[in-house]
Amino acid sequence: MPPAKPLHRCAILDDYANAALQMADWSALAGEVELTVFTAPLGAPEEIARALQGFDIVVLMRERTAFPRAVIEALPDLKLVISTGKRNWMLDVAAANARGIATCSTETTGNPTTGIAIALMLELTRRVGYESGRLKAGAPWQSTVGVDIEGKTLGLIGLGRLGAKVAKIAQALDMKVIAWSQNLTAERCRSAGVALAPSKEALLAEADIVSLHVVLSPRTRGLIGPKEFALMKRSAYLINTARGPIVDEAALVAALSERRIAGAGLDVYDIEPLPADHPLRTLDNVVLSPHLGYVTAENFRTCYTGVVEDIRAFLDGKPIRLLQPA
Amino acid sequence: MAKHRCAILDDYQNVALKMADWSKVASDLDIKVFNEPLGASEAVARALQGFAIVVAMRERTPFPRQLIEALPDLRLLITTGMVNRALDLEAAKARGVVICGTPSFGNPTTGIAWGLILELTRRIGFENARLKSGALWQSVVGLDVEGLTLGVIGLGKLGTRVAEVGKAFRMKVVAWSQNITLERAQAAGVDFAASKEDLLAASDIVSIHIPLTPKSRGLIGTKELGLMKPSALLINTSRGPIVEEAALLAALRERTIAGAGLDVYDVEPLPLDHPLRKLDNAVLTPHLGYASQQNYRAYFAGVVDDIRGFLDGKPVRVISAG
Repeated sequence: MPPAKPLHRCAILDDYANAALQMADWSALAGEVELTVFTAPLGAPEEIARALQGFDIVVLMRERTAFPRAVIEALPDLKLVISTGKRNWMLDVAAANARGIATCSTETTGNPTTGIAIALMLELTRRVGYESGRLKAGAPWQSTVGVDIEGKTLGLIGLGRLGAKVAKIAQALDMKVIAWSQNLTAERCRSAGVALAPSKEALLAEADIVSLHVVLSPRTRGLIGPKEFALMKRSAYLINTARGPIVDEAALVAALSERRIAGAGLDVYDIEPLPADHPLRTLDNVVLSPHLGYVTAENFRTCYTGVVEDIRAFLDGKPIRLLQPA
Repeated sequence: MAKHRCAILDDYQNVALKMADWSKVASDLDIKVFNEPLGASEAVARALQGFAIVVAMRERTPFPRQLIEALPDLRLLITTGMVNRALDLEAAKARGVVICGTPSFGNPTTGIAWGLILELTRRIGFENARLKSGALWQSVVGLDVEGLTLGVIGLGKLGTRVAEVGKAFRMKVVAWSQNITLERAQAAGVDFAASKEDLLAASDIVSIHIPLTPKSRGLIGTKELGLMKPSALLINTSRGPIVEEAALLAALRERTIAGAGLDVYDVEPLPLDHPLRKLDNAVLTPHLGYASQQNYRAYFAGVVDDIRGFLDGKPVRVISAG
């Protein structure tokens, strides 16, 4: 007798590295759930709705594919949406819950974005990846003279969990650290052992490296634009591992092209994946990573193990880690 | 008055003359800059005939007794930095050659050690090159160093600093060397490994921070690599021969360890046909540990001062034998 057709269809979205099925033991769902992995972004909301017809379970990688009301209401079979991580402002939880769709979250592991922020700083200043690529391609020996970050000033915009961790690492690398954000207090700075810059402008003028660690909100959208680039030192670098629209991308491309600043290290963009013809891809003073801040084996294992648990619990009628409407 | 002939060696990036203001010695000197290694001792001796002043980039070109004795015109030998284990001070003294050192800046090797660790674990440089050459998006799933164990071999100035960064990344740090004591490890706030074997077995990332000496040559060989976890990474920013290169190559090829990040090699520059250049699990840098703008400025400003002092009969920062 052929095996019974699984009762549930589950779509795993935005698994660009095609890693989801290796990163957890999915056997707890075997026979009941048919898994479909999407390794490329699905596109506009209408395309998402088209691609996901017939799926009753959808697994979102946090804040990659947006799940607004319009998408949710176009998916009549949907019963469960899981987002990796504990929050997802791109998922309309209220709209889902209003349709009787359960919304669940997962745990995460570590602070993997800090490694990307520091790696971008080091790649801009010491060029390890670039020089390794040259040696592998047959270049004889040294080509660059790096800038040592020891003694330089790191300006952190945002001193939350990630900003504070980046501060500690920078201090261990003997950098001076200053910080500013719209709601940063002197007390918070003292407890992190960094100096509070009196204003955004003062921070930008003093820092040799500026690193952004604030969430994207109406207040932070366009926080760094033409005026801010003009305040930065010509020798300064900008690091953005937070969210693309915090920086005015056109102004950034102009500042880099005109060498108004020395360089930028970017993990996030206005549009992700970064379009193939995007001008950033052609600049020699920018280091680009494909939004790797959350991409570590440890974090993926935690996220996808949580996904399996969430689905199992839902199928058993006892959903766990339910997301509440914002 | 005839100008003094001055040779600047191993300036691979061709920056020595830009990194300092040479005007206060320029009219006294006839300077020749060598941008490539000169080769074996006999070739070095041939290339440097007639030079009264030679500026060595620390331990790149060695100056053993036989070379010093083959350079009868040599009067002043400057090494960047204040320590150069590849220079025979006794032989120089015996021939009346003055040896001077220079200041340096900071601890730039720390950034290369961490740059190698992060390139191996998070692949920023690799992914950057992919994006620049038209790849669509992500290809790798990285490894977060948080929670992993960093084993530092050597807890001197560099080992301690690399350990501090590891702690700031919330790694567990263990240390061992032939002369680290429990007290020294405690003072640095790291765990003490009772033996090299213990450190190798416990570590996810092993980073070497000891000088090359007869005791440390071949410290990491086949047996030691065999003790490491299959998932472990080896970082060498100290000196090539501390690791047996053939054993390392075999371990990387057979994937008995996961990868290596190397800034130093048995032969430098790394030969063009060297098999390390073919391995996908090695990240290779061209001995950049000392190469920072701040360090080069300190070096070459010091070189200019050394030459001025020597020409004025008042040599500065003289390094003497014994």
